Amino acid sequence: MSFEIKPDMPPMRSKRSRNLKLVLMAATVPAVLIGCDSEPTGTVLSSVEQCKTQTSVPVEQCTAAYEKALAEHRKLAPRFDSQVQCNEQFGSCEVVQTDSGQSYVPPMGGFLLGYALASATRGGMYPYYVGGVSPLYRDYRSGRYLKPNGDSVSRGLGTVTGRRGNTALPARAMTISRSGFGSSASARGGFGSSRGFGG
Amino acid sequence: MKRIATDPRPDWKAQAEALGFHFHTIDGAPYWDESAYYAFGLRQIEDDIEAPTEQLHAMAMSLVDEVVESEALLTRLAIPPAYWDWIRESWHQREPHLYGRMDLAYDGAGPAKLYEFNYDTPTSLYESAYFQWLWLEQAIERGVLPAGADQYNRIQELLCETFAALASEGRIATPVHFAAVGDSAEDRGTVRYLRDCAEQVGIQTFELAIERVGLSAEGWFTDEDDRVIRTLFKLYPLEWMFVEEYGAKLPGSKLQLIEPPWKAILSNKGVLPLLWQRHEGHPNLLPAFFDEAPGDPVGAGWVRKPLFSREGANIELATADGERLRSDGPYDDAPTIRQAYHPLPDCAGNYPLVGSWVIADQAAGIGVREDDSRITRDSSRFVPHAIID
Repeated sequence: MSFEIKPDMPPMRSKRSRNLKLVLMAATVPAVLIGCDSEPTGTVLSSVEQCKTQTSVPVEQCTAAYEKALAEHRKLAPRFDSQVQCNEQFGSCEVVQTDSGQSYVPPMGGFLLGYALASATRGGMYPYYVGGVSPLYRDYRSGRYLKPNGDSVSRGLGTVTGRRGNTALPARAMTISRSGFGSSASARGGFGSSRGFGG
Repeated sequence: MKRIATDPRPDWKAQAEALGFHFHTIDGAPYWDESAYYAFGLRQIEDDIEAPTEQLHAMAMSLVDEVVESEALLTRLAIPPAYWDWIRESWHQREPHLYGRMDLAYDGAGPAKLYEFNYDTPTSLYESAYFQWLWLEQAIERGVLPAGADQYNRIQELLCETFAALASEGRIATPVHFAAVGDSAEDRGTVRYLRDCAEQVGIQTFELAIERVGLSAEGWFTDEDDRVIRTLFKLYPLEWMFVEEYGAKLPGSKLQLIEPPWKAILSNKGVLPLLWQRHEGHPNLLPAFFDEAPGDPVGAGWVRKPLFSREGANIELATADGERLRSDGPYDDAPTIRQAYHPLPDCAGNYPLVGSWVIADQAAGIGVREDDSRITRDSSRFVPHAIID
């Protein structure tokens, strides 16, 4: 048996990192990341009828969630200027009137039930309650279900994990107020320097 | 553990500035100070700092588990009732946390003593994690330290790993927004550094001043370009957010905060008496009690601290011989606790405090700050360390 000797290696039990770099504070290129998943955070259903056959959340909550998804769909559905473009991706796009004219929206192809964790104290025969809901759109080119902001939720129906189960946050929304945080820092400004408020 | 004087690198300032460390000097006073370093032995690091850090962290986490279920304890910590459910839910959902720092008094012999947790908005991160590491590498390169010299510091590596794991497991929504008080160079530097770590593992990030966070009609938090903020890293105290205009909007919004709401418990000095009640006599804990007579001068051998306080502000201290010290500050509006006075070691008029970092749930490294007063304040200097056996 022989051991290979690597003269450049730091001591065996090094307590510090081998290599560190900065990319924003001193510019280079960021790496890409790949990942895996854990706990279910929601489920994708294609229609309100499926509420009766699923066993994850109470049926009446599922039905109410479907109604809410429809309402969100009317508000948040992705809008296309071109009917052709919309149909290419989703099919059966409908025309809607907007302030600035006409645009086209895809049909709601399903909906996402986001789970709230059912704790032991809540009990009941279902493992989850509905924590949130989002309308979904089926991209015919990829087969994926997409949220209104374009995030992909899953390739098909059924359970989803991770943040993909988080419901209905659009990419943008019109800001109607600002500066609702920060008053404590300025009220304590007598503290008196460019030093921070962290500790 | 020794304080060893050494010559600063001639070009350290130029390097600092090229690497985004613009707060190396603050208001004309030196902050990064490499005219000395602290030398530790490996046994001191592993047995006296790393192992107790993991143990104290575990004790803190089980305390959260208990406090979220107890209205009496939440009340004791002066956490507003409107946020109790939100905090409890964030704990039940195991909303991820990123980092924390505990401050330890350690003189090289005997157990390190926990002064406090900074588990919501800790700073001195960049200088601990990166610039200190660079200092060691260059000290070895220049032959100032032996090739076998080491440092207790995997902070950045663990920060990057944690960001990568949180994003790939879908435990944080991306992109991630980073916010700090707009006119604090130090805090802006700290969030810029954290963004750097996140970008290194492929997470898209945005940065804004906490004062510029907006709200949409639907109750979503937005940035200056009307992007909906999904995950907000805020270097801004949770307890301040609670009492500000947008605070009430937090529980109903879908905003994910880092640090998460349950960290409001561990950034609170009230955990010190609670830990003492549960682990009385633990070698790394100092006796601590809720202050029953906050108006009276603090007794000899005790330190008074507000429940909410940062950067050593509003501390009142009386040594065993009755010498009194106090620091002013803006945190005079909260209940207080008393903690037994355990002096920092005196290294020729310098008083070092060990900041021990926990990233996700792992003990990750240390940064030493020293002051020329026994209260480590925001006038302290950051002095690098090395492990030399």
